[in-house]
Amino acid sequence: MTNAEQIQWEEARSAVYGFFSQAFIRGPSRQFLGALISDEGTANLREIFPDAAYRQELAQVRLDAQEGRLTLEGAVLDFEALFRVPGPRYLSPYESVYRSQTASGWGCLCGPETAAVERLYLKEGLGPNAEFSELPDHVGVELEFMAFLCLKAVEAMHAGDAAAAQEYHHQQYCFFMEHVGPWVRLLAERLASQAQTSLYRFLGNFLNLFLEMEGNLHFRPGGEQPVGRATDASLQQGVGQ
Amino acid sequence: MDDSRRKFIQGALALGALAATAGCMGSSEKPARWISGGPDVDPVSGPKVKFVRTVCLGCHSACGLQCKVVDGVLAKIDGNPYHPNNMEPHLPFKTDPKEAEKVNGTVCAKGGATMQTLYDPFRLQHPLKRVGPRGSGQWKTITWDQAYEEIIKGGNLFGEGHVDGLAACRDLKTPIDPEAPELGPKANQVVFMPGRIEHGKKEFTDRFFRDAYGTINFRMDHTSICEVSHHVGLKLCTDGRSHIKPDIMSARYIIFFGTTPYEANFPMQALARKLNFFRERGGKMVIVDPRFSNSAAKASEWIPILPGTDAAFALGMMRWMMDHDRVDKRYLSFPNQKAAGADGHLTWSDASYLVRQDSRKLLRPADAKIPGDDKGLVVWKDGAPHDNRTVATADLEYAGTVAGIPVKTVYTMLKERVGGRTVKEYAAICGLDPQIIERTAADFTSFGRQAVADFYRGAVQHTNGTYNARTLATLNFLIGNVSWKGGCEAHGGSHWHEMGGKPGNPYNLAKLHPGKVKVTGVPVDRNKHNYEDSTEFKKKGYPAKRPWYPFGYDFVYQEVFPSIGAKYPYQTKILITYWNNVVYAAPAGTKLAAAVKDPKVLPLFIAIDAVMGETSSLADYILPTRHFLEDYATEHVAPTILTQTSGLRVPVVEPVHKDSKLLEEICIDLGVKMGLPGFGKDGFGPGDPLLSAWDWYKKLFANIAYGDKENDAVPGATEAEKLKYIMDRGGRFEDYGKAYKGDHTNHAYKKICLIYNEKLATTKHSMTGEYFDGLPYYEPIRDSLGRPLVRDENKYPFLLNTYKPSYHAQARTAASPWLMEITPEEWVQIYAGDAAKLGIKNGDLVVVFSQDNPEGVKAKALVTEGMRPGIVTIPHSLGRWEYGAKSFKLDGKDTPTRKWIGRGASANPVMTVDPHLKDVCMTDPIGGSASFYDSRVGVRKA
Ligand code: SF4
Repeated sequence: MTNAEQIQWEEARSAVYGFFSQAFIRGPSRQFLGALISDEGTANLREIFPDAAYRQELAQVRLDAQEGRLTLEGAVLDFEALFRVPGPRYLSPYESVYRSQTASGWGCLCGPETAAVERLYLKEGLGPNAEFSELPDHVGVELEFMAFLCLKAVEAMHAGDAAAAQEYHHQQYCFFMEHVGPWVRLLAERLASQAQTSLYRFLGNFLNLFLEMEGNLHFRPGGEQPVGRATDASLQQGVGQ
Repeated sequence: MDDSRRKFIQGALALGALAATAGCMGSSEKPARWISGGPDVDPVSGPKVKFVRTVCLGCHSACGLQCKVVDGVLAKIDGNPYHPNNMEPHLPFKTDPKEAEKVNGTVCAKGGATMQTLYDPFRLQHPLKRVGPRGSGQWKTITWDQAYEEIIKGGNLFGEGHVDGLAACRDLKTPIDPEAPELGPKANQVVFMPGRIEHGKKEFTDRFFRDAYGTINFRMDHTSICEVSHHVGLKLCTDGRSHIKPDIMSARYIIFFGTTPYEANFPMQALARKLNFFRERGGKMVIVDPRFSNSAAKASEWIPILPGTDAAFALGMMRWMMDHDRVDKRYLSFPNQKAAGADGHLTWSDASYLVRQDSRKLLRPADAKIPGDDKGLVVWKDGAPHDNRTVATADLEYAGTVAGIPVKTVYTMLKERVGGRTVKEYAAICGLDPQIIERTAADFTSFGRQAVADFYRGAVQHTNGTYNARTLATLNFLIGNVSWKGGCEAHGGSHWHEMGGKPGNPYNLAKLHPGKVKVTGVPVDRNKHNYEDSTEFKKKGYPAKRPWYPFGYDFVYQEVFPSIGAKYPYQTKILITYWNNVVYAAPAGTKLAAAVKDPKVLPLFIAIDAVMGETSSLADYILPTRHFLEDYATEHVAPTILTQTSGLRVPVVEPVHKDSKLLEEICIDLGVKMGLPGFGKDGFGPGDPLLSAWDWYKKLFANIAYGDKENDAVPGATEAEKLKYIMDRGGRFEDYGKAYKGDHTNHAYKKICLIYNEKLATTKHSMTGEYFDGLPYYEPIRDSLGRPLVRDENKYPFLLNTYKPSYHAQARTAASPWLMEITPEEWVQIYAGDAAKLGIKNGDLVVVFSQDNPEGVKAKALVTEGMRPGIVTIPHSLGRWEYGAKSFKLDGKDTPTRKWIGRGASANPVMTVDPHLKDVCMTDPIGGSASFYDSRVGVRKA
């Protein structure tokens, strides 16, 4: 890839991380839902992965919305049940719940992972915005941090600072391997299986596909895969079944 | 660039535009803190940390604590991972205590914050004596020697005339009233009234006040303002059990009446945790409560019932169950244990027993003129009466005569009772749609024996509390779920017997008491005594001057002060309280203060307390005592825990205030100075001293370490090693895997389930002279004379409700700055529709007032949809007026205050006063529960 292509690639990954971050932190709005199912929105989304099941689910979201099975109210209720209200379908969207496991299965809120990611954010000078009151290991925050690291790499590449870009790639690798990788795909699978609307089923599977691709392209155990050096074949593999 | 990559980029960038709003974090040189707050999860670790395992008393759940002490200072509290309240599953008992330090069990916010009440700067540090009139808030510091001297010897202590001390009042022979000798000797005029007192401690004070000092008023503790009719109702349904809980880990359906297991009840942590597993498995939880509680938020269904009508709801369910043949008649037809056992049951019921319709008694073989002794009861089978022990099944339904005596089976009587109203009529009483009752009954009977009806405080703190308890418990009997895995648990793991007397125990504490006194007489609250046995009854019949409580199996706490005020049934000369705050904690408690204010009525009042509470402030002396983190006890747990559990409370740190004393130390000092039997250098027997609290507790702990059965001791070559083994672990705990035996719980209840209670049915109400009802029964709310409560519903359109919030517990948490930060004040919670009618908006200051308290209490309104219309709720634990909320004079100087502790309101001061007695709240005449949920109030903007 050329430098320009690498920059674009990095920006695109950042955009996807950012999209999921906001989808899981804020919940659906009329604008979000409208844009997602608009002709243009669906056409763009369709192109992200050539995967047939992915495309079919996307089409289902649009169809449900058109035929009234997916309403804003229904999407909000689904979001609340999945991400906010500790009821039977609650996903507990926090890393330490998934990872500080006890013999009984689930870990606690505010476990060691919470403190660990918080330290990383603070090192980058990142604090919560004024109105934000979630824990630092919320899935949305971790994905936003990945988006941030991608953009920092873009900035470095624009400035021609290869060392800095390399440093941010390294940070992406570490953060993905130590935090995002070990749990977010599991959350994505639960999201897909516990959602009641086609919207969140789709988002769960979409996230899973995306993280699978990320893992295959850039974050393989045992060695860093420099961003942008991935072969197109490996991309195909990443977005395959 | 490859096409698929290009498409990915194109789509992804478009996606980015879609979500282009600000993120959740921003960068700056000084980034804001994240709410997890600190860089480390557990800042207290390392070689300087000493671990001490003890038992919490932040609420009554008795969770294990793993305390971390650094340089003698308690620095952090976690949960004890050995304790079944704190972990699922808890650590195997044999785990090395050092290894266990790496594991933290859970602890709730209240438990973690108890270290703040330990180090509360407002704790009392030295003995105090009043120097002004009683209750005037003027005190001086005195020495323990002076306090003991004056309390024992009496004299003109306050310049108000002579007062008898403990020595003069200990007259074990002279009757208080020669004309009413049943009241007992004058020693009964000394009353010990602890608020909360725990196992180990209560047995100790029984030893002092009952077995050594000799008063029948040896422990008038608090349970009647808590949930005593729940215990009494269950004791009247079983053979000796006072508590049921669902086996949550294996149940599939649980309906909770009047309780919110996600924020209150006990053991709160274990209930909430187990319910999470239950819901993860797809279990169905139903919450019956007029308020949309934390638990309702997690439930499959919330049923906002009208308070006090739980029995009507249960009878409606029974009606549907009987009409639709959804009763386990097979189980109910087993007339004895053997017959039920052949079908796999551990319990059986009285449903087939015959009841005499002429005398309300159960028919005995002699009545029926059939062979059998008086332990037998009579059932009907094959057209003839039989001794219940001689047949394998019996007819459930029969009405006729036996040997000329009109009889009916218990089940026939129940069916007639239940059939007296339609489901629609029951629903109308509950203020609900009949379909809700029908659907609930259908669900309840759709999970075999893995469905449970549980209840707690909300269902029983009514004047009809015991009837509600008996009726709700009967739901379980009708589906035969008792002692089954996933069913209704009436025993639980229970505990090892610290008082000894079992084959394995080295010390039988009841026997290790030379010179023990046997007490006689009637307690000042008339608990466990029948009015008809009194001289007063013989002289004047019904009604009694004040109610008697023949089924008050614990004590009628709220009745003690007014009885003292009324000198009924005799004068109290000395009142000793311990950690007691009845004035704050009882309904209409503020009215109780007047009863103890006059030294002519109550000559001497000694409070043993750690702080200046609303009740202690009325005393003559306050003796400063220790916090639970400096104290001992042997704690039990509720049947929620299916494995055997004995928690040990031990001092975690040195006493913060050296001049304070343990309750046991105070009793020992008094006992030794007075020469009471069972105290001193030969307290347990020649050469076996009782001179310190540890002398007592080491025997109790040893009994636990050796166990109830022979060869059941924990490892250790000597007694000291065995004690160390259990104290290192914070108690003795059976392993998690022992919870079940086959299809049943391992320590299951194996006795009868009583739908009909003969003793209850043949005992009379002391005020009305009418018989109590022996069957499941719905009774409307009544006053002490049995009259319906009448209040002007236009003026007082709301029913007042209270609850225990997650972050506070009764009177003990308001001094914690952490908890006050989470819940800084309590609000008057009101249904949005009601608020709109009154023009009340969220946050408005409002007054809640009643006929008995027109001035009312003031707090901010919380307008919510989560409330049944017509109900207002004020959670209970704040709204203090002592405890540092105001200053008092100590040695001539004003003490500092902390006004924040008085924030918010308490509902208690506006609750209904009994219209006949006029000095106490309304009370359940059977169980003795104080009525917390029957008060009508009005609400206005302040
Ligand atoms: S539930 Fe009660 S006993 Fe358990 S930790 Fe909390 S306050 Fe302490």
